[in-house]
Formats: sequence, C-alpha cells, structure tokens
Amino acid sequence: MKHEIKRISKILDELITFCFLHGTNNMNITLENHKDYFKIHLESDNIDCDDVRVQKLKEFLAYPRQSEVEEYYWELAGECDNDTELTLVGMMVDRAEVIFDGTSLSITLYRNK
Amino acid sequence: MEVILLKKLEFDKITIKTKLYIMLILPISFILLAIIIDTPTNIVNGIFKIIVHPDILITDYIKVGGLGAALINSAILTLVNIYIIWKLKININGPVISAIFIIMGFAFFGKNIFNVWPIYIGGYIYSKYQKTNFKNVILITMFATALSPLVNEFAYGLNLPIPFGILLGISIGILVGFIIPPLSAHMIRVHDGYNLYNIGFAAGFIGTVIMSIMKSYGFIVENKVILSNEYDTLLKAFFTIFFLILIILGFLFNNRSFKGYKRLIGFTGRLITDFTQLTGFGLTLINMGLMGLIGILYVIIAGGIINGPVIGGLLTLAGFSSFGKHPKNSIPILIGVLIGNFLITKEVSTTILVITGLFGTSMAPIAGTYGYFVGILAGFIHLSVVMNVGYLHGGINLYNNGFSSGIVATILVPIIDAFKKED
Repeated sequence: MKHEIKRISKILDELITFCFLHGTNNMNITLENHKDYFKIHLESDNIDCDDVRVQKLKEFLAYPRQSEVEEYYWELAGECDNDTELTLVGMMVDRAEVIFDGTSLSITLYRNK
Repeated sequence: MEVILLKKLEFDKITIKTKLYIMLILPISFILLAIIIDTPTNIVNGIFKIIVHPDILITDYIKVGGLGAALINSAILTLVNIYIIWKLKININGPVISAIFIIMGFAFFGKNIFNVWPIYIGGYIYSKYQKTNFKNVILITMFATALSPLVNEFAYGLNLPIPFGILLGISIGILVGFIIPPLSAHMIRVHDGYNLYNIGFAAGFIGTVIMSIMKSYGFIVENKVILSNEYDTLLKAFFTIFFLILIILGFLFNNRSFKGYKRLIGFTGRLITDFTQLTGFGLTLINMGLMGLIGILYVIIAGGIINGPVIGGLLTLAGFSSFGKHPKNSIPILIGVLIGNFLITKEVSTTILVITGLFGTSMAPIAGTYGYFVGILAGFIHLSVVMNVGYLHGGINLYNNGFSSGIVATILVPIIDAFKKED
C-alpha cells in the first residue's frame, strides 16, 4: 500500500496517545519488519486496566481489517490528543493480542503487507 | 493476568447477504413507485432530459425529467453501486451505507446514469496506477461523484461541438476520479474528522480551482434554482413509511428491543464512528429510521416541502446515521440553522433553509464533542457560510454543505480548543 511506513507510524502514534491518556509513565515499543508482515509490540505500565475505556481496547482492536475504510481515513490516526481512533487501528491490522496484568498492558499487533 | 488473543471476528451475526437485501428495499421501492405513477415512455424521455441537462446546483431532477424518471435514475445508480459492493466483497458497514444513501439521494439532483461513470473510471485507473486493489478506493470514488456536474458542464455547457464536449467532459471526470483519493485522505486532517462529508470539503477545493480556471477563459456560471413542488404529500408518506420500516427491522434485528440505544447516542460521532460495528446492525437501522423521521419533522417545522434536493438531504441524513449522526449530536445543528434564519437579514428560501439544516448535520461531531451550545453555534455560522461558498465552485460541487461544514469545522474547533484550560 502507498505510504506504508507512514501508516505504521500512525498506528504507533495512536497507541502512544492512548497510553498517555491513560496514565502511563513508562512505555516500551518494538517494531519488527518481516517479509510478509509488520509486528508492533507495546508494553506500558501504570494503566488502569479496569477502566471501561481500556477494556474497550479489546473490542476496538478486534475489528476486521477493512482496507477500503483505511484508504480513506488512515491519516486521521494519531491526529487527535483528546480522543482516540483505536477502531481505525483495529481496521488497519490483521491480528491483535492484548494482555492485561495488574497495571501493565501489553499490545501486539500484526499487519500483513 | 488476563491474556486476550484477538482474532479477527466476523463483522456480526447478520450476514452480508441480509444487509444487501435491506439496502435493496429503497431502490426497488423506487422502481415500483415509478411504474405506478408514470408511463414507460415518460420515464425514458425524462431520463434523457436528465442526462443532457446541466447539473450544477440546484437542479431538481423531478422538475427536469419527472418523478418517475428521477426515481428510476436513482434506482439504477443505487443498484449498480450495490452490485459493485457485492462484487468486490465489501462488508456493508457504516461508510458503505453512507455512500450508498448519498448516491441514492443525490441522484435526485445532480448525479445521473451518464455523469458519474467517468469518476469511477478515474478511481479504477488510480488503483491500477498505484498497483492496489480497486476495492481500496471504491468508497472514496463513490463519495467523489459529488463532482459529477463537471462532466455535464464540460460536455454541454461550453458550447463546444457535442462529440468533443462529451469527450472533454468524460476526460475531466476521469481526471477528478484519479486525483481525489489522495486528496480526500489528506484533507481529512484539516478538520480532524469533525466534518462527516469530508469529500465535500475536498471537492469544494477542486471545484474552486477548476471553476476559477474556467472563469478566467470567459466561462459564465448561470445561477439557477430548479425545484419541483408537486409531490410533497406523496413523498412525505413514502419516506415516512420507509423510515418506519427501518426502525421495525432494526427492532427485530436487535432482539426485539431498543436496548443499547442510550449507548449509541453517547458517541461523539467524530470520524470514524461506525455504528454497525460499535453498536450492531439492528441499532444502526433504528438510528437511521429515527433520524430520517427527525429529518421529515424538521422539513415540516421549517415550512418546507419534499422535492429532489430535500430527498437528497433526508437520505444523506439517514445514511450517515450509520456513521456518526444521532439525535443528540444532530438536533443542535438543526436548531442553530433555524435560529440563524431568524436572525440574519438575508432572505433564505425554504428549500435552501431545509437542505442547509439537513446537510449541515455533517458537523454533528462538533455538537457531540463540545456540547449543545457549540453545536447550535456551528449550525448558525454554517447557514451564512454555505450561502457564499457556492460562488467559489459555481455549483459544480454537489456537496456544497460539506465544503461549508469543512470550513466552519476547521475554524471553529481550534478556537474552541483555545478556550479550554486543560491540555
């Protein structure tokens, strides 16, 4: 897809904004560029995992990938600092894993090329 | 520790086939109504008149070709688009429902079975040029038919020899279809998703540039307002029944309840808020039906009648009620437009007032995010802006309200933000 690198950056931007909005003090991000897919892994502390908005993360990231919606709206990801576009992130990835462990949150996203 | 592996789920329990059948209700009803009220000869002649008539705002196809022809024109365009959606295996989600309804509505005043296809060809060429699937740009292309009147203007409006004019019109349409996917994606950042008719915003700028060039070479825009007024009662009854059917179907799909609707009206509506995914298909249909009825009520309160442009407004309102609009974030805009009409000194015709309100709900996310007062203010400002921006693109951008809403949202949101004390 056109602007593939920028799209990955936008997904990261959105995840970082989400963690900041929910109180993180420490974030670790790794990004792997594989032959067929990108893997984005994020670990964050101090997140209130019982917060309804955090719990919604599972629902939003579970959305099926929708390339036609992505093509039109991808530039919105990471653009707003008081709202999130996690539904858009869900539509931009093929697989997501979320781990809640106390106040720690781990997110792993896979985006096929 | 709670570990959740999220595999992509099916969209929801309702199959794509069922959703497609629901999308077919209105176009098939249009065909039946056309057959009942008009003769085949009249319909064919009417469609021909629609095709050759200039389409710049505001050209009511019911007046140009008759109600039967306008209904068939809308039905054909909608059915072809539904077929494309089905063929490309695209799920019926909020943006797709909005695109189908906006085409269905604008097929009563500006989009016809001749002038939209060059834009699709342009979108297709863009997808091949970028080596991507046409599926990825079809949504943008469907919305981009806002600039369809360009095709007619170049084909018939420049007094060129007809074959050359048609060729030029088609070429311009293809060019627009090619450039709008990257442009529309880029323009969305300007208003941060607070204007639901983003293509209207992008098309407004394209139309302004093209019209400025045309005017430089002596092209004169003829302002015109062609409106029908003969079928108000019939159309009110027809669309009231349709919106009630949507509510009933939604009620049935939502386990025979309205449960969850309170949650739906809690969303701000800012792009992207796809109710089909956030709340389910049943509640989405309920919201669409309810918003359609609110739209009809607004027409009555504003003293208007239902004609081609108002049908466009009602169907766009209902369509985007699957993708961000709901009573809580849309009514403040309608109120703002009505208040504006009382306070401004310029005389506004009732149809303009009605469609400004209906299409002005493009800014529903502003009311949803910042509250009733700001929503009313947005509607108030929108009424003044929309009456002036049409001059810039000479009426070739059918989503004139989307252009105006984009401008208002772009100005208003950062100003409101400046008054907020927190980060």
